[in-house]
Amino acid sequence: MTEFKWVGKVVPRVDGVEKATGRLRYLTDVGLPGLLHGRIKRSQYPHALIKGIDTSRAEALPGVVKVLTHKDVPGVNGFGIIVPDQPVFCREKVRYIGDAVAGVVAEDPAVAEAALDLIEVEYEPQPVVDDAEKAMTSDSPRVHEKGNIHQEVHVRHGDVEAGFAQADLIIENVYKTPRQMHTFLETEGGLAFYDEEGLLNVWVGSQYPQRDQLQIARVLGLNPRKIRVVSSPTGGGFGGKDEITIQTQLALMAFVTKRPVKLWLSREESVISGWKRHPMTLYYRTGFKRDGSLVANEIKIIGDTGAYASLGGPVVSLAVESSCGPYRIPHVKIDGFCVYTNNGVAGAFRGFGVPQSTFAMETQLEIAREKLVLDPIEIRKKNVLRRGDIAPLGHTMTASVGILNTLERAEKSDLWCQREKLKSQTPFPWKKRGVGVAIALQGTGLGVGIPDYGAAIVELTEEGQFIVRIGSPEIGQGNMTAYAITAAEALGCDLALIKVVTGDTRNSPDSGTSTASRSAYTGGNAILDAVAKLKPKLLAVAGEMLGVDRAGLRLAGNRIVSPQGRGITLAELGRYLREKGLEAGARGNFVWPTADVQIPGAEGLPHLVYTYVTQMALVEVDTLTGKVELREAATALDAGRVLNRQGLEGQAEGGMVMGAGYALMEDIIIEKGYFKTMNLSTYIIPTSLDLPERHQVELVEVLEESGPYGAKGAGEAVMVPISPAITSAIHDAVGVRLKEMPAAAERVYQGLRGEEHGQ
Amino acid sequence: MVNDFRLVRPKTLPEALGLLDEFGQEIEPVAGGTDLLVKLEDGRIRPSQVMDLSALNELKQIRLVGEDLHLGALVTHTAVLESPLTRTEAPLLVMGCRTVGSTQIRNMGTLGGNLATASPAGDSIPALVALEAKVVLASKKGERTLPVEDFLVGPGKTERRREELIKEIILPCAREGEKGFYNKLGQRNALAISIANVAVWVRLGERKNTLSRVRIAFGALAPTVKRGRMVEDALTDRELDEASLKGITQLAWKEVAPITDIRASAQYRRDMAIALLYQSLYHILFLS
Repeated sequence: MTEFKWVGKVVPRVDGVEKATGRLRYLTDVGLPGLLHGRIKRSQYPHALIKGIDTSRAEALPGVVKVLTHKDVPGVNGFGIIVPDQPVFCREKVRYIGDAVAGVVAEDPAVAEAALDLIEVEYEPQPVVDDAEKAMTSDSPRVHEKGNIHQEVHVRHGDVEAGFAQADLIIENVYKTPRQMHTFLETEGGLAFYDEEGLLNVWVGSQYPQRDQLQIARVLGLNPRKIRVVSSPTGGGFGGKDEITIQTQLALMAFVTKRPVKLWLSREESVISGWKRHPMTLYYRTGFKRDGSLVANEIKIIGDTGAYASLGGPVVSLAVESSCGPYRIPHVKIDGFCVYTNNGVAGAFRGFGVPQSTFAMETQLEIAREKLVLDPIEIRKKNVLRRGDIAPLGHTMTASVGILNTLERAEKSDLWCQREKLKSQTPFPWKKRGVGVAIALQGTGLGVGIPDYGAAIVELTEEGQFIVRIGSPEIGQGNMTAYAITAAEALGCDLALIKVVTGDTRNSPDSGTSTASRSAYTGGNAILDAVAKLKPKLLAVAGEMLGVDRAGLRLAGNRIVSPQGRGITLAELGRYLREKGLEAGARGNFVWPTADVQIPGAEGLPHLVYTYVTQMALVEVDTLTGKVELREAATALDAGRVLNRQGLEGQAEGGMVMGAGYALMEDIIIEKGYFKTMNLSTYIIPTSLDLPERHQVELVEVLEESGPYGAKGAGEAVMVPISPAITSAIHDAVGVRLKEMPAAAERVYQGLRGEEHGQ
Repeated sequence: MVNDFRLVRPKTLPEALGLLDEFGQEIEPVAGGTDLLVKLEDGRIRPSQVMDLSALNELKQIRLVGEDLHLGALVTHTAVLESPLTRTEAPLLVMGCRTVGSTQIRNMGTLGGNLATASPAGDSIPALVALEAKVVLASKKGERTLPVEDFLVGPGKTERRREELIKEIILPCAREGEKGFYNKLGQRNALAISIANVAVWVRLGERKNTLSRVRIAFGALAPTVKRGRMVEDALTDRELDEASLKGITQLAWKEVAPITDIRASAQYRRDMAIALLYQSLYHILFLS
């Protein structure tokens, strides 16, 4: 077994001290001299034509510097990663209640706020499209001219009717999933200003500064090189800062006024304007043999993307990809629809479509398992994908596949081994306990058809430090520490000598977005490539300096030493390189491997490298109120080689919590296009008192040859199967089978009463 | 956004009452501010004057007066949890205060403020109603005392006149043989507004499994916190077992008139009146 110095070890987070002490400020707490304040005038209706916008009264208000509308947009009045269908400022139509109609820049936030009320907009309200399925019909009012179906995905593999003909049991159900909110700690915001070099700086909470730079450039009609985007490492993203949030409006405010501007959304504004997890309706018809083998799956998925596309198409595609779970199913027919409505906007969110279809598929499997009287672990073992299998989408699973390993490890967890004892420990007669298990796979990277590339620059400084530059931002997930570990291991130096720079278009190369569980894998591979180029050069120069052959030289700690014990420090080497005008750095890159087939019309489908996870839940249900509490959880994760042990355990714990919130309480409620849950008083996320004291995390290292030291991504999969594990545990406890989340007390109570209680 | 206002900070109760007498119509008293600040922030109220009560130390006392406990209006929920007096003399109030908001909110929020806000879901109020507490209102002209139950008029509405301040709350000390239970159902276990709650205060009967006196108050189940007199009578002086308890607590359904909101439906809330009451009495009779 390979001995590592840093990989897989417990090390302090490289950005830990400055975050924990508060030395690193939240970006939105930072001020600048002469700072102006921006505010956004949002729509009054979920769906309306704009008949006129009068800004004269707002402009006349003392302290107002500028009022902006669509007329002030010099370039393309639109943004969106796939299609720029969302206006920076709406011109002829508003499509959701968070749509931006105008912006105010003022000397003072209160003046900016007051000016919003002075902007007069004349609307002609249109019928509200509030149901994605109805929106698909030909007589529905249209959110966009081209029609309400933004994108369709169709997968045909095998012969689904022949598959059902072989089935001994066919299970048919409809599932519905809630609209989850990222609930990042710091709402969308940032600062924009011109620097001494004349660059328009946009400092913002962002998951992909290079793409923001391009989107801003398109809006301003400006050369992207005149724009610098820096991502703030505070505040969190979870997918909600992958797409443009406030960047284009903020940049425009500074561009027009030529003064520094701050734009920062209140929580309520963040709720109504920001991205959400797609609510989906999922129709499932699944065929099983008597022994539990899966033979056929016919699925229709409808995702409500709200007013604009953003990443809705790919989200629905990933829901389609994972709709059969990590199982071998020979005959499938899957249709996915991404549909426009006036229900806010939905986009990228940790899990990216996978939580929705995993909930449905795992529940289908549980229903069949119960009818066939099979063990929950055994039925899964029988069906899970193994390396070399043909996946339901038709591609070959050529990369590492560790789902069976996670099941075997989870089966040995305390929760599972002691489940009968744990279930019997109910404190009151009206409480019942149950356990549930669920499994998932999560595609990592962008998938076939979307070029996925990473780059890293590693350079030695005159101080004897290595600077590692990678564009994919740190936004709380811990990739800086993973990068430092990878670089230190490859170089053979002390971890403390590595300084990581991420998320800055000027100082770090484009390495793609911090999403899709891709940044540690992609950046790590790019680092290895850079080090492979840099290290021989450094050793050669050190050999020259020492007058010895480079062959025996090695890097240890902060020195390069010869077998005879002679050596120089890295600082000496760095200074020497500088003096001689020699290259002190190297650029590495990495292009993702892709699957051997492609699903037509679905960007990114299928993936090749997947993360695998098994999660288990012990719940306690109050049979008189329907209230569910998660008492214990277990996670067995195959993310390949563990790079950053504490970071990975942290991801697993945080992911479990986010998935538990999704299963138990989180839902943004929109009625007729209006938000009913406007802030954190009505949008309920779990607190520490709602979470189990014990969550066993087991890291199953099935090495992935294409990954850095065998590592894969981990950020998303860890939140996925816990939700169906919880709903299955509820069924185990009280016999209520939920086909709609969240498992709020009232919904479970209705199940207990036999209302809305199918099967 | 919060509007500009004049802030006054009286040092004594007479000074505060004088200010109220003079500016009562336009002055907004603030104790812990946990409700007022939210209303100010989203512009639901735009007062011209705000009177900060935090310097009135005389209203922060918890005192034993004869058989009664006197709690100043500015006693915080945290103070209730930490005072040895409340722990022995008013355990039901302690249970209610423990479920208020979060540590931060309990540190700032006060008993008087919770009463003045008069939310049907206020978590300290059902305990006060079940304990038959009284509220003392002071104005420049003098004081008057009325039962908490009568003080509450509707959501956000009370008998307090603009020139009056809540001075203190008086409740009878717990006696030998008395027990209580507070049962709250929220959407989660902290920082939760009650979907429904119930406070129960009983005197155990001489015979096993009987209650000689029962006081029940329901929260978030009617426009105000509501006593359950019918079910109180039905429970008094009869031998109770699980089955009879199940039967009698069904009467709670008739005591309440809840609404449907973002947290729960009226139908569910009505069922919860029964469930929470049953669990509370079960705890009192069979588990403690």
